[in-house]
Amino acid sequence: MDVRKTVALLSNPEHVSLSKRVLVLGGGIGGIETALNLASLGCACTLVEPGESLEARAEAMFSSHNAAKDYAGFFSTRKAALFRDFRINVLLKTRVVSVAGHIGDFRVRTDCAGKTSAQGFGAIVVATGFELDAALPDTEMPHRVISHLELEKRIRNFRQGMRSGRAGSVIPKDVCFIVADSGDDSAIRSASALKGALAVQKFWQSNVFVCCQNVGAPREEMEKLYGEARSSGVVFFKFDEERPAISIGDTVLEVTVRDSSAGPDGEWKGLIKIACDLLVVPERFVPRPDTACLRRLLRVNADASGFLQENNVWLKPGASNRKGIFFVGGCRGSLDVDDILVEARAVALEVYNLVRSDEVPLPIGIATVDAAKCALCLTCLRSCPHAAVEVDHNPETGGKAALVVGIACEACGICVAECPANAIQMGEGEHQQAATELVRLR
Amino acid sequence: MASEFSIVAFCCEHSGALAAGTAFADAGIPDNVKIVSVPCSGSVQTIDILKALHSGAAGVVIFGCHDGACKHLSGNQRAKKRVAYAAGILEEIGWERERVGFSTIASVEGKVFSDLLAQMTHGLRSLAPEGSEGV
Repeated sequence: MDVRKTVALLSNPEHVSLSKRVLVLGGGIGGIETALNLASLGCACTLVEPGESLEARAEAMFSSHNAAKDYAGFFSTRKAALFRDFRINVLLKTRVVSVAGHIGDFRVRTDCAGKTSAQGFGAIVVATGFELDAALPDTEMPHRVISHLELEKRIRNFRQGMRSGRAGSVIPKDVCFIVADSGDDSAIRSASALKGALAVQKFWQSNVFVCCQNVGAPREEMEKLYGEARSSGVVFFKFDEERPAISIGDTVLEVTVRDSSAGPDGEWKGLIKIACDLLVVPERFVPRPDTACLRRLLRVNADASGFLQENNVWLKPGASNRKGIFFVGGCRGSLDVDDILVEARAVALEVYNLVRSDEVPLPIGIATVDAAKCALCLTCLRSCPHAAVEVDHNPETGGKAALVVGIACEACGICVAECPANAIQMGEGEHQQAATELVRLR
Repeated sequence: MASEFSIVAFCCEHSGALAAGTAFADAGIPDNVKIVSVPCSGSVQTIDILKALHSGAAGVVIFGCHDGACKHLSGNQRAKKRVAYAAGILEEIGWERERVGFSTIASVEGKVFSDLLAQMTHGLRSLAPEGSEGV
């Protein structure tokens, strides 16, 4: 089959030209890094950010979340480079209104304070990021059970109060952190818990307990953070499937945790009760509210939790179900900053590989629609997994019919199988083989 | 067909056909199995399945990718549904629904591939009356 495909490819005269302009959605660190890398490869970029400034989106990055490093300085240098680069056009306070077309020729309408404008792009990179949901379990002591972000705010206020000589609020004596595993987040959660624990110990001199399922420390600097926390006297308890129980008394919070490393023997069976004044629990990572709308505009799939990119082994980091649309960073799940930077570079290379040549040959074996047979039932439009079908208006006959866009087609044959009118055929060499095999069977 | 009866195996070229290759290099594929490579398991139509049976096959099986591993995202789900639909049609006309099957497979699972086919052959043999050609 491969030999036949190669032969067909060599003899295929049809070529399509692709636009080299790239649209980057979202001005967080993922978007900035992708745009800068693309610009250095010679692609002109337009970066669209709905917020008033780029900092707003990157706020979560500056806090202890996401990674063990401090990224504020890094962000400002990259941002400065972004505005300096003549190949990059940054549009603030701008939203995407509609997206038409396919890889090589996406026609995008944007809206900036009521003013709409249209532009063509060869590829689209989505880097809209994630959001932190700090909704906490209902308690009668909301000031005692707080999220990491709230803890950071309190520590910041405390330090400001110290500096200005004002007496701060009441300092908690015992602080407990709970970090439960939840898939890929665990490294980020652990990093923020470790940073939080160290800060609490340093500024409040409290007793700090961390109840964790696993300390995810996949990086050297996180390993160092963990070592630092241990040596400075943070007490770690490790639990298994049995989650720590939280009981709320009149004046004190009590966390009951079964430490699995303590062993099952003995009277206490690893059961530990921690009385604390403050309990810190991690936030949830959720898709940004505009993700669902963007998904519909771009006709791309999402996973069960609403993050972009389906769970599929064929979708390499960054790839979507549509050719020419890529995802970077938080919009496809919670990633820490280091991962986002690597991914941004990888996606920039991938986009460049796709659009670098002026003309690309059409893929082999793509489906074609017989316009005369097409009843415009739109079954193909709905069933195409790569959103490569659109409605074509023929100006000569005035008729409308479905059209498989060759450059976006992956030649899977699903539309051919689904078409109730049998109006779609596979190109050279694909389905004919199956037909021949069946004839031979007779 | 030299052997007693044949099975047509529609194999997705990203998984089933590669598994067939692995099986071929490993334990071998029985003579009665006809491998038909398709671009995606989702491109096999119900009519293809029925045509294969009509052409003299005793059974038809579709090999698609595992869930979450379909290159065309939902092709394997479609194939599964079509096989169920074809089984319904067979039952309506008085044939056994066991004559059609769908299975997910990975390219490295050569052994699983041969085992599944051997299992199907065994099942079909029990369906076929003594002395008949299997249909």
